[in-house]
Amino acid sequence: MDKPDYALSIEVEEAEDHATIRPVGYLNALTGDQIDKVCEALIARGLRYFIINFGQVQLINTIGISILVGIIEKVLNRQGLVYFTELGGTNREIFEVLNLSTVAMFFADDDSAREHLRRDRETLRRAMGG
Amino acid sequence: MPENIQSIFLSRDLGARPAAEFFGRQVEREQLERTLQGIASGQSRLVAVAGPRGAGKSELLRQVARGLIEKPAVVLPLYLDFAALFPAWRSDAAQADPEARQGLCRTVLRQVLARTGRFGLGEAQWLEFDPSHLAGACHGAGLPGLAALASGAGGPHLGLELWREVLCALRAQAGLPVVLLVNGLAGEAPAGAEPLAALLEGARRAGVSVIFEAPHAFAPGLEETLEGLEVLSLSPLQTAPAALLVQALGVQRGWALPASHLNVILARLGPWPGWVRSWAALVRPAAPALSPVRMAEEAYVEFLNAGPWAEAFASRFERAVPLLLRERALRLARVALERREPVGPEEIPLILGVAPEGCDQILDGLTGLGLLSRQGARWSGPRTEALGDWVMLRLAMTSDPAGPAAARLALLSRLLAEPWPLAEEASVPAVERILPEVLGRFRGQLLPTVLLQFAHYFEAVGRLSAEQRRQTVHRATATFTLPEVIGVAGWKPWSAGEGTPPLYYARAYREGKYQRSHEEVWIAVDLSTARLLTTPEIELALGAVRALEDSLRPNRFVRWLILGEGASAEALEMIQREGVFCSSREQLAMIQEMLAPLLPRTPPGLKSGPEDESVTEQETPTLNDRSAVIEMAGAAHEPRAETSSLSLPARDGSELIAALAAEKIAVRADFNAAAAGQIKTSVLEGVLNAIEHSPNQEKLIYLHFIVKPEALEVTIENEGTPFDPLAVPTPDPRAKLASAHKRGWGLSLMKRFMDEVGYEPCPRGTRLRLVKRRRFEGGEEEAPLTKTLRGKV
Repeated sequence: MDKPDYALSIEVEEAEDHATIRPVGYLNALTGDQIDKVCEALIARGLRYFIINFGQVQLINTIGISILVGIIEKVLNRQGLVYFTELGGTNREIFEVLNLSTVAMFFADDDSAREHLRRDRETLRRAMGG
Repeated sequence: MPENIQSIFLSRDLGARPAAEFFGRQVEREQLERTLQGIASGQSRLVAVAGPRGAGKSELLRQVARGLIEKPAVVLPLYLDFAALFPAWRSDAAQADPEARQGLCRTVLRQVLARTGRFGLGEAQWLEFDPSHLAGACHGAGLPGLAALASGAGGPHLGLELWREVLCALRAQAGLPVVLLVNGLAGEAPAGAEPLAALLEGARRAGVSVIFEAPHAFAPGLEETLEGLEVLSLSPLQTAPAALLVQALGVQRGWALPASHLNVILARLGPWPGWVRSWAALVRPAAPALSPVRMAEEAYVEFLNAGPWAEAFASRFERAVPLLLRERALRLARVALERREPVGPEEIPLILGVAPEGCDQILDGLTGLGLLSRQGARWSGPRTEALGDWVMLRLAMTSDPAGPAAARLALLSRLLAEPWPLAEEASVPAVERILPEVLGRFRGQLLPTVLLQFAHYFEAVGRLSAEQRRQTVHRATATFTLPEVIGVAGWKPWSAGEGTPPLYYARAYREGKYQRSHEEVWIAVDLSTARLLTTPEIELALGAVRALEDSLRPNRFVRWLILGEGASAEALEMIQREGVFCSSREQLAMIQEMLAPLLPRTPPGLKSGPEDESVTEQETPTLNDRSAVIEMAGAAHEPRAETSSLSLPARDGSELIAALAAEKIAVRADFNAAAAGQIKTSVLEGVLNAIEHSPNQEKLIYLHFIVKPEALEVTIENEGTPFDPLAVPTPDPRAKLASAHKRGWGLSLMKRFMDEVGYEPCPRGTRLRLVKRRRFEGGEEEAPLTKTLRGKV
C-alpha cells in the first residue's frame, strides 16, 4: 500500500519566542513521537512556548494523547507553556473528557493564543521586575 | 509517668478499651469528673456506679482510670479489679488464697511505684516473678501493711483494719489525695459477711475516696451503714450507642456483621439460622418482656465485657484433632449434621481417610467437643446448631484465615461455653423454583460478570451491606452477554442416588443467531440445599453434569453451579479448575431481579424422541430431551439486526481501518456526526487495546457491527490475555504529568463516549462490547417498542 491516508506530516513555524506546530493527519504513537522529537529540538534551542494547532488532525488516539502529555510535562518543567488551538469536533471532546484543559490552554485559533502568550509574557516580565 | 511504664500498667492492670470504642455515657463521665475535682480539692467521696448488667459500669471506671493516669497527677488513682484478682472474691477461701493476695499486693505496688516514679522495667520483672522480694518492696515503699496483706496477716478476710492500714499508709506515701477505683464487684449479694463493707469502711476511715462498681444487690443493710454513699446510676445502653458500638467494633475487628447498625443484627435475628440468634440469646434466656432490641443490646455488651476468649474452643479442637485431619474431621461433622440417619462406624474410616484404628482418637475428640453426638454405635451431628455453625465456619475459614468467617468463628467460639437451645430450621431455599425461571429469562441481556463468579463476588463485596452489594453490582462494568434461551428442562440421571442434586438445562443461542455454530446448552445445578459445600458434593454434581452432557448431542456446554451459603477452600479451588460459573442464592436472586420477566407468548411445539437434526437459520429451534419438561419458553420475536463483520490483523494500522469502518456504519445507520465521531474513537481505542493484548501480529481481531433499531452494538474480539477493566483507574492529567506511566486513557474515553462498555471472556479470548444508543427527539433513549436489559457503565 502506498502512503496511507491519515499519514501525519508536521508543519513547524518558529517565531522569536515561540513555535507553532501543525500536525496533519492521524496522531498516534508513531506520529506522536515525531512531534515529540520536533519539540525536543525546539526546546534545546531555547524555545519555551508552543502552540499546537489541531485544525488538520483528523484522528487522535490515546497513545498520541499520552505523548502530548509527555511534551507538556517537558515544556512545563522548563517554565514554558503549551497552547492547543483549533480543536474541534470529536478531538475537542476527547480533550475535554480527559480533562486536558487542566494542563494546557485551549484557544480557537493561533492568533488568540499568541495574544494570550504576549500578555502572559508581559505579566511575567513585570512580576520579575524586568 | 514514663510512657513505657504507663503502657505496662494500662495493659496489665487496666485493660481499658481504646477511647474510640467507648460510646455514650457523657453525662456520667462529666459527673465523675466533678467528683474527682472534689476529691482533688480534699473531699472524701464514696460513689457507687450502679446499673443493670452490661450497662458499662466497669468500662466507665476503666476509662476514668485511664484519664487520670494520662493526665498530670492531681490525685493518685489506684485501680483494682476484684474479679480479676479474686474470681470468687466474696468467698473466704478466695480472700485467704495466698496467690490472690500476692496478686493484689503486686497490683497496688506496681501502680503506686509507677505513679511516684520509682518503678522501672527491672522492677516489673522481679516483682512479677520473684515473690520473695514482694515483702521487701512493700516495706521499701513505706507500705508495711501491704506486706502484711500479702503474707496472709489479718486472718482469712480482707478485713476493715487491714484495708484501713494499707490505705492510710498509701495516702501518707502519695502526698496526693488517693482515689480507689474498684471494679469486678458486680454479682449477686453474698450469703454471709460482706467483704465490700470492710473495704469501703476501711477506705472511709483512711480518708480515701472510693468509686466502685456496685453489685447488683447490696448485702442487706449495707447501704444504710455507708455514710455519705452516692449512687451514680447508669441506664441501660440505648440503641444509638449500642449501634455505634456495633459499628466501631464491626469495622475495627472485621466482623462478618455489616459495619453498620444494631438494626441489621435485629433484622438477622429472624431469618438467620444460627449464630446471631444464639449470640443474642447468650446473655439470658429471652424473657417474654424482653424486646429484641434490648436482647441484642445486652448480648452485645455482655460480649464486649467478656474479654479475650476467642481462641478457647478453637484451641480445644486443635488439640483434639491433628492438623492434617482437621478438614476431614469437620467434613465428618458436617456429614453427620446434614444427614437424617446417623453415620455408621463403617463409614467413618472412609470419610476420614484413615485406618479404622486411627479413627477412635478423632471420634473421641469430636464427641468431647460436642461436634459429634454418639448414638450407640453411630454418630449424629453436632448437638447444637451453634456447634454446627462452628463446623461450617471453620471449614470456610480455611481459605481466608483473617476473613469474615474467622471473625464469626471467634465469636461463636465464645458462645460455645454454654449449651444452646436448638434454633428453628432455616426456611426451604427457593432456588429450585426460581432457577428454571431465571434460565428462561436469558434473552441476550448484559449481566455483570461478577454475578456468575461466587468467589470474586464475596471477595469484592462480601463485607458490604445487602444494599451496598446491590448498588456495587449494578455499577459493575465487566459484563457478560447472556445467550438467548429457547427452552428449559429439568433432568435427573436414571441412576440418581440420594444426594444427587437437581439439574436444569437450557438450550440457547448466542448473539441472536439461530445456527448450530452458535448453539450452546446451559446446565445449572442446584447445590443450594447444602449449607457449606465441600469437594464431594462438587464431584457428585459434576458427575451428574457429565452424565447429562453425554446424553445430549455434542455441543458447547456451559456449567453453572448454584451454591448455598458457602464452600470450603478445596471446593472453590475445584470450581475454579473446572472453569464453571458459580453463583450463590443471593447472586441468583440479583440475576432474577435484573432480568426482566418475559411477555406472554405461544411456546413453540415440543418434539421428543430421537435426536433432532441440525437447526438451520430459518427453522424455529425445537427442544429434544428424554425427561419431563418443566417449563418451555419460546424465543422472543424481535426485528432482525443488520450485522457487518470485519476481521483485521492485530497490528498497527488496523485500528484506523476499524475506526473508519465504524464511522461509516454509524453514519449509514443515521447517527449524527458527533455520535459517529464518538463511535469511531471508541472503536479505535477498543481495537488498539485488542492489538496490544494479542499475543502476536499474526492473530486476528474480529469486529461485528450490529445495527439495531435502538442502538449500534460493536463487538471486538481478540485472542489473547484477558483484560481486566476494573484494574484500570481513571487517569488524572495532572497526576500523569508527574508519572512515568502516561498511558491508560482509552477505557475512560470509551466509557464516556459509549452507553455500554463491557469486557467478557469468549471462546476466542476476550470480547469488548460497545453499545451506543440512539437519541431520539425529545431525549428518549430507546425506540419505543423494544426493551432489553441495559448493563450499567
